[in-house]
Amino acid sequence: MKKILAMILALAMALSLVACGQEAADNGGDAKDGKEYKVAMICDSSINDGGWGAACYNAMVSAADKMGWTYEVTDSIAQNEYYDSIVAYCALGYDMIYAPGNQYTDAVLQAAEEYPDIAFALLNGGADTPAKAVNKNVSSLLPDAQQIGWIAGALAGLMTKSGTIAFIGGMELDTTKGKYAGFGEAAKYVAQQEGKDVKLLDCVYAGSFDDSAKGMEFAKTMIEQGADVFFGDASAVDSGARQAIDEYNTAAGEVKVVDIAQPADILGQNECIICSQCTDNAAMISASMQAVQDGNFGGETLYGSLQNGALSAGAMSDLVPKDIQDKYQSYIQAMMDGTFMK
Amino acid sequence: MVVNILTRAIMMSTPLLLGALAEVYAERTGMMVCAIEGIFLMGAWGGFVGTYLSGSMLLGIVLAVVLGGLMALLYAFVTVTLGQQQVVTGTALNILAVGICAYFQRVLFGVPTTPLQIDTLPKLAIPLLSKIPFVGEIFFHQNILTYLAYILIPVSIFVLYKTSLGLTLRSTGENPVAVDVAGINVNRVRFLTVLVAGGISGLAGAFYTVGYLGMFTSNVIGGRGWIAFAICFLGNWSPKGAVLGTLAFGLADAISVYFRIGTGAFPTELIIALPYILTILLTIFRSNFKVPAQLGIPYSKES
Repeated sequence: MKKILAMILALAMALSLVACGQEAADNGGDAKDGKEYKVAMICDSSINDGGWGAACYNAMVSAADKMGWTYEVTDSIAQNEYYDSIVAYCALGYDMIYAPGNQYTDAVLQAAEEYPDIAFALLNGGADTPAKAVNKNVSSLLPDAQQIGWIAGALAGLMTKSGTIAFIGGMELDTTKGKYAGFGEAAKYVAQQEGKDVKLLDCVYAGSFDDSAKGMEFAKTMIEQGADVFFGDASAVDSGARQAIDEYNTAAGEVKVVDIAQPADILGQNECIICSQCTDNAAMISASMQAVQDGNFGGETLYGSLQNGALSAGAMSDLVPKDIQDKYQSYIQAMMDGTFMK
Repeated sequence: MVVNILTRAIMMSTPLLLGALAEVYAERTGMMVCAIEGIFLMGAWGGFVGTYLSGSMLLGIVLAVVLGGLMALLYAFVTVTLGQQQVVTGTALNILAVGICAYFQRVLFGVPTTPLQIDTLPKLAIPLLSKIPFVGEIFFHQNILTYLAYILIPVSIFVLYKTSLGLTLRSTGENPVAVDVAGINVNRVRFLTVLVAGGISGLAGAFYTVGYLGMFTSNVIGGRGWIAFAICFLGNWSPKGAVLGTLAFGLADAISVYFRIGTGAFPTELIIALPYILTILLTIFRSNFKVPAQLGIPYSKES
């Protein structure tokens, strides 16, 4: 009987490893110089959350496909597993570790010190993070949080009818705060141009990126407080919020409340999505891979902005009237030209 | 606004109440169902997969109950039949459940870029009752699982305190030797109670996917199984106590959402922790605990 128990426990542990969701892919590994390059991604949210995790994973896949690298991912990992997961890949001889989030900074810096020959690409890492790495083998890939906020905020300012807009955050990260601030200032500015007043509700944080139920609760409450345009930075929490918005619209018999998605173009996933703020992380990852192949990786911050094409506004739904679409495009152009809010 | 907070508190209390009632029954026989978080998760996943693949919410809910029961079967086999430690086994099975769900979710659906969605149970307005001002909106505009939970409250009180079955269950947790002497198989009582508790907890899990969210994510339960576990303690192992404990937690949870949005004055972390702090405080300030005497202790005739 004891043996059976031992077997059950062993099975539990084996499956718990599977739970971490390792996805491997082999696309030939035929990087140009003949060497087989490998990239590994770690992620605390799920890669099929329809938000952050999925977008980051797809960015890695598309960059790896383009560059001829093989890739692997471990997702849904807990905070105390960040470092161990990274080191496990380092020990397996991966050429690059891709950590999509500011929250991995400490784990990445520690592992980077112990594995000087491995490249670490930290998405949303701080601008000062690469300088902290003693071996100069860490790069920050940093989409401009303020511009991300602007891209969503300008549309929110144009679209709101109630004059109240809302933002849902996952964790209280600097990048999230930057997006919230940008969202608010752009919405207020644009609304002012249209002769409207806009109130941005206080930013709420779910405390995680995967509690969809909490997102649903938040959205319902914020709708009650008058919010009619939503934006967020909370992965599966946002998916829950969209579910609540769709339900509200169904009950109302028309689409009264809308959402702006990010960071991938997911127009059509929910009826309430009118547009997506898109971040092309793949371009930045490809650039990092190229640097690894050229032997000059590290110690730098790669910025993603509207100007270099890493940030953009996605396709728009029919819920956005043509005249508003045109006005919005002119605001986006102003952002690219550096004349927005000036 | 008050109506909205209370309506949501009742809705979010439903799975906690189902789980806490299941836990009360099991613990009254001496069995802590420490695998409750995993059973909730299996139920949530079963409800989602069943509904998604068959298109029928009923089949989804049935699958949730079956998977919850299967998880409980494994737990009961290890803890009752093999007499192993309940906390250790429960912890292992909670980890196992995460693995099973994540693994089969990927096997069945791959890695879709957007979350798969299902329809959720409709809200049913009970004729006449739903028309009562204030109360009607709060209590009688809910989905069918909430109404089922309402029915289970009096039924579980009646069965536990007014029937010979209830006496047997309670005695099994207090004095299993006496139950054994009376010719009743103690381990069979415990085994079957855990199975039923597993089925009900599976149903509670299905509430999150089929009754509320319409999608499945690996952290959809987010520790709420443990809350149901704690409510059983808080409610002093009685169905009535479980109801009160559930309402207290549900209310604190609903209010905390309003607090987070309405005021920037409080630190977010404190407000997130509010329902949990309340649960701990209420548990601490309970003056008398009627812990079932044999809670967590395996029974064998020889000992």
